[in-house]
Amino acid sequence: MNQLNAVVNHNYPEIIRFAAFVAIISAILTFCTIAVIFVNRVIKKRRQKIQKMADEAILETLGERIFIYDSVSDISEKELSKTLSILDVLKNKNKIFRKSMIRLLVYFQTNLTGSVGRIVNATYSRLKLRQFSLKKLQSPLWFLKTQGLTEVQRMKDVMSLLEVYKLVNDKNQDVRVASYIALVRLRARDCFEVMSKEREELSEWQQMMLVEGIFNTIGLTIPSFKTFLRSENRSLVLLGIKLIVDYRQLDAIQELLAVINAQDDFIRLRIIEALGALNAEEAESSLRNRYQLEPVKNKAAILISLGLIASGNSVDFIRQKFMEAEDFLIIKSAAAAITSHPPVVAYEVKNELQEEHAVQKGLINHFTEALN
Amino acid sequence: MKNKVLIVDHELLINKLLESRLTKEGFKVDKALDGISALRKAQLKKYDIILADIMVPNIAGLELIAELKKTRHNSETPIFVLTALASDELVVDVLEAGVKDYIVKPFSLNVVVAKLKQFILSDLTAA
Repeated sequence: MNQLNAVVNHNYPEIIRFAAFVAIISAILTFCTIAVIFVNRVIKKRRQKIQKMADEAILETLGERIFIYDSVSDISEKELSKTLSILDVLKNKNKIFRKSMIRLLVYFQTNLTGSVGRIVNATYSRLKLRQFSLKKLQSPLWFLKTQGLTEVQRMKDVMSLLEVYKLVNDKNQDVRVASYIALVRLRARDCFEVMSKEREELSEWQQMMLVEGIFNTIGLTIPSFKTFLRSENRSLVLLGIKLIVDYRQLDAIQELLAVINAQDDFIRLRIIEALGALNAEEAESSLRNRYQLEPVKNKAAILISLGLIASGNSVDFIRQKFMEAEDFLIIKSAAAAITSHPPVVAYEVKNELQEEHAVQKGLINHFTEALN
Repeated sequence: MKNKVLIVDHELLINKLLESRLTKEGFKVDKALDGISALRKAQLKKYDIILADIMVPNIAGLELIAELKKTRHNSETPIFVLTALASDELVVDVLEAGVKDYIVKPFSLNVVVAKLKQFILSDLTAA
């Protein structure tokens, strides 16, 4: 302050006074920044220390009083009350302890099955921790909502379904996807119907999370995913195709053929691949007819799919593309398709090859005798 | 004398969970969080059972099993694999590598304990 007064009172040129003012303000700001960083670090360290203490105390209690039992019936009501009162004291100690308890119980519930898993679940309910998960669902912050949704679905809290439904129209897409996953995990009857109403494009990551949720939910009623193929949402169509293939829904082949004229190259590529993966013999002529209309990548996929179907009806078609094509990807895919048929097909094609077909010959050799 | 178990898992909480339960069941437990520390421990001490997740840092999978079997003290020690990976091929490969049993995560704590106890019991009977 004295320095500032000195500069102000002396008759220094304007520019020097301004520079001194800026320098002093900068020094003050730098000091403030360092102070804030220091205080934040101290707070973080303190929080980490409390977190560690909380983890240790809760783990010790769980280890000594919960994980030791073979079944729920092994615990007497008196003992259970005592355990719950110990955990209740820990839970009410402070926010960090409570959060730590929820995190640990959710973690063990996710990683444990059998009676210990059930005991962990009962502990979560009896300690009334679900109300904190439900509170997160009502938070204005998207990440707290998704965290709450994860907790609810991992603790298999079917009672919270109504709260989950409220989030399926949330303005944040991550929250919506987390709510679809929660509905799937909680085996809500209309989970797929709700999901099919999604308007925004789902990222590949979100699709993967949904697929993971669907695959890992035991006892889920799987619908026919052909309804997804008519969606206006491109990502839902792609998700539907993937699920049709993974669940081998052969009844969806006709629907796949009906939408094979889709505008989007990538959707058509996925449909072509799906028809091959489903060994759809009835799709062969459609695939051959589409060949000329498709870009190179899709042409290659058509050849591979015809190879996977390997009915024998498309051998001449594949052979012709193999001999005439100039694009390496097409020749390679045709070679793969030929070698997917019984060995006699590759043998016959090999015999037809002339000297100028060195690339074709090399590829057939590669696919038939990959190790040589 | 207490049976000695080496638990190899990169997840600290799983390690602690198994430790608390197995200690209560009368086992003497050592823990390792990665492949290298597991090998170090296996080179220094003989264990009665190794309970290992094969997806751990540094050395993992079939290589970890092979390396554990090369150690002087534990070449004959039965290994129980505990992992989240459950592909048919992997299960076959792991069992062919000489692993005693394959337990998939999420797992039942009681089943793990029962399998280890059963093994100790059958080993004693055979002896």
